[in-house]
Amino acid sequence: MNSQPYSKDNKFKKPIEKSLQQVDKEYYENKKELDLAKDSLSQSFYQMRLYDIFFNDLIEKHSLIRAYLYQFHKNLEQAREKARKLYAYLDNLELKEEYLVSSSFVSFLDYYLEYINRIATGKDIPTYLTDKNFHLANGLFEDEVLKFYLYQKLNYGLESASLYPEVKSFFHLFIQRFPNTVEAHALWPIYNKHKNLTAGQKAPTFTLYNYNGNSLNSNHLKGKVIIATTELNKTETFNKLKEKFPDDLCFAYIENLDYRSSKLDTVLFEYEVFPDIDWPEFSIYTFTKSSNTIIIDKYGNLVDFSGYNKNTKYLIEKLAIEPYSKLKTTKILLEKYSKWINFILTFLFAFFIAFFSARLIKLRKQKTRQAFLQSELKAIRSQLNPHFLFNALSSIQNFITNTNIETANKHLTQFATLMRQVLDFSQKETVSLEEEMQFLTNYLELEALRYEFKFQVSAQKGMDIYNLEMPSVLLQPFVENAIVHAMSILGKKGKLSIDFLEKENQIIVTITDNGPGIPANPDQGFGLKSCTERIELLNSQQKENIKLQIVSPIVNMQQGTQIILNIPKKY
Amino acid sequence: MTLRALIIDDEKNNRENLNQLLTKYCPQVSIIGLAGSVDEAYQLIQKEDPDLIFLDIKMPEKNGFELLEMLPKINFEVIVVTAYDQYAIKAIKYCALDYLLKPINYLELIQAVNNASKSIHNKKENLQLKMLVENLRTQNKPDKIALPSFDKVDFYKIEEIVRCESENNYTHFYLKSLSKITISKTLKEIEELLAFHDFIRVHQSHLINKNHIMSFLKHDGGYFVMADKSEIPISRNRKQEILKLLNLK
Repeated sequence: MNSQPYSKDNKFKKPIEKSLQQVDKEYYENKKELDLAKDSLSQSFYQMRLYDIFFNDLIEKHSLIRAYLYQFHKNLEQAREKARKLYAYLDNLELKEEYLVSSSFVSFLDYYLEYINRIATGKDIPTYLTDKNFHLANGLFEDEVLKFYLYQKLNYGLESASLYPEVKSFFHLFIQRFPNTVEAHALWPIYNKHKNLTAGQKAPTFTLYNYNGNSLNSNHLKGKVIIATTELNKTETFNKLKEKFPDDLCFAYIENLDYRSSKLDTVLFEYEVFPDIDWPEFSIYTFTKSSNTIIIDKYGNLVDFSGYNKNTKYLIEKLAIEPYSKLKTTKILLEKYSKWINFILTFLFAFFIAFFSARLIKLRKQKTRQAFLQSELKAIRSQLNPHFLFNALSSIQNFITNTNIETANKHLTQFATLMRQVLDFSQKETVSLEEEMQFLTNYLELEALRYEFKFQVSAQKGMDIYNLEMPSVLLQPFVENAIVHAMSILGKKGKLSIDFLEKENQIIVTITDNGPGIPANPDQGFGLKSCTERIELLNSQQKENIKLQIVSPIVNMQQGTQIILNIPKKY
Repeated sequence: MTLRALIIDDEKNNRENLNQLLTKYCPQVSIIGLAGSVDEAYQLIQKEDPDLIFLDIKMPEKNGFELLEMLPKINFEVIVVTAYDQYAIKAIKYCALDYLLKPINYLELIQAVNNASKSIHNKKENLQLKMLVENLRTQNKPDKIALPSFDKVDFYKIEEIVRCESENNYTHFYLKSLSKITISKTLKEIEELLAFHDFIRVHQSHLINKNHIMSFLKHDGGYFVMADKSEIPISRNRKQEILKLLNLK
């Protein structure tokens, strides 16, 4: 708790109200006059303080301040005067007793708020824990004062039997305004106790002590209605109830150190409980005026803790008459909620049916889609440009016409190998790097017959090309693109290189040509679309995560195209 | 030494083409006959007792494999010549037999003839072909594999293979008997051959027989301890897939 006494400078925000600015102004202007007033006031307050300390009469003190403030309301001029004096007094007040400081200061601030409210609205508005008061205080007080004031108000407000909605809202405003402060941490447990305890809930277990010094766990009292109370003046009523239902009731006295009474009827009150130690969840209620009686039914459920009132007697009777059976707990629950249980079961059943059928449909869809993608990929893999096929054959025919038999033979078998590879690869998802390099070399050799360009297919030294794998026929479309758009134009000047690199977990393939580069708006026939489509298909199957990078023109060269593919290693 | 050879193919052009290629590139081969069908070839083989036959597989009526099945004893070498037949090629690969693909690459032809001439000296029963015939007859997946080393071909039960490890384009076989055989084939080729035999590629350079896994160690990304006490790392990229495949996850 913040016990720092209120001190002079900047503790109040500059008041919004003109009248208050006036008060402050006057305070500084008429220091002399104030000093005199202070003397007289401090004398009376000093007396009051002594009175407080020695006679412990807080109410008297409050009423004294209230009396001052009452004057404020009646006559504004006079009120200002008094207020000024009050501030002046409080500014220099050295309060040593913590409790006294807090309670009188909080009361003062209460009155101060009331006063402002009156000036602003012309109405008497009590300083309850309301949002309106929160915002008003927030506007008027300096952080430290505000925190202290609100904390004191809440500390008291939360410790009542019921948590009123406005208090709850006030509490949340406080937590928002001062999160993670000592005060906030101190208030949370008090607030949470409210949240945890409601009628109809299972009561927390606690220890009861009888007057022979033996202790008993509250669980052993199942089948009896437990009435824990501080009400000693209702002993007569309790006794009558006890006589009527001797086996159904158990009265326990809530030990309250302040009011330990010799009047305690130890026959009626078989047990006592010590709320702070054994009953931490309840301790908060037992010391407030409104909650002095807690009733727990035969099944250990909290029935009422709103305090003793005229209905309490009938409530106890009703609970005592109710027969107890161990099975009843579940039976009652079942009967009570059978409608709901039926509803929930039906709902769950319907939900599961819906869920699984949706899943099945989804799975089936997925499978069809997978199959579709698979066939699509296969189709792409087995595709070779017919232009290329027939032109390659034509090139071979030319060797035969020129009776260059060996070359014709060589290229014919090369062509056959290429066809075979295309067919083979279309059956496989992945091929080894060596296979892919072989395939590309074959392909390029045949294409070079047509355009006479130079090419090179190479792998980084030491790369395990026989055992590294990549998706089959992934590169051919890019290479074909380079041939169609670069090599076919450049002819003998054309240079095409395909390089394989290994980097961390990836195979990096770079296809470089020295062609004119990709135009800014490539037309549809440019073939890049079909290249990227393949990659997208592979990636969408989530089997690969291939990255494609196209650099055109190549940096610092004003020409050429570089295709860079990052292919995750299979193993 | 002259190799007495037969060419069996149903297409006249193919027979003549091969005949010419052999005349041009393989002078040690003398063609003693050309056959257009299995029945014709059967007669010729009985009559001529050749050292080597070039055998086409896909032929009308009876195919090339049926010819081999018809013969009571095979004491010659066979070079299979096929246009496109994945199934036949796989069967041939199990037995490590030579094959040629049409149209014939003369470099491969020279290589195949050289290989054949090495083993023709002793006119023993050809075990590789016998195995091929057996495999074809049973229709089941073969239980043996032929592993050709530098100077001989040995047969091993596939279930005896604990694991295979690659070294560039070579593959080391580790057997249950703790012996090690190295052949000149890539692990990828072996993987494709053993795909239906409980073999799993767990790593870029490791193919393991899942029946010979002793334990799975979780440290350092996971290891399989195999029957030969070797510790085989698991590919990080394929780990989930592999563990799922082995019901370890």
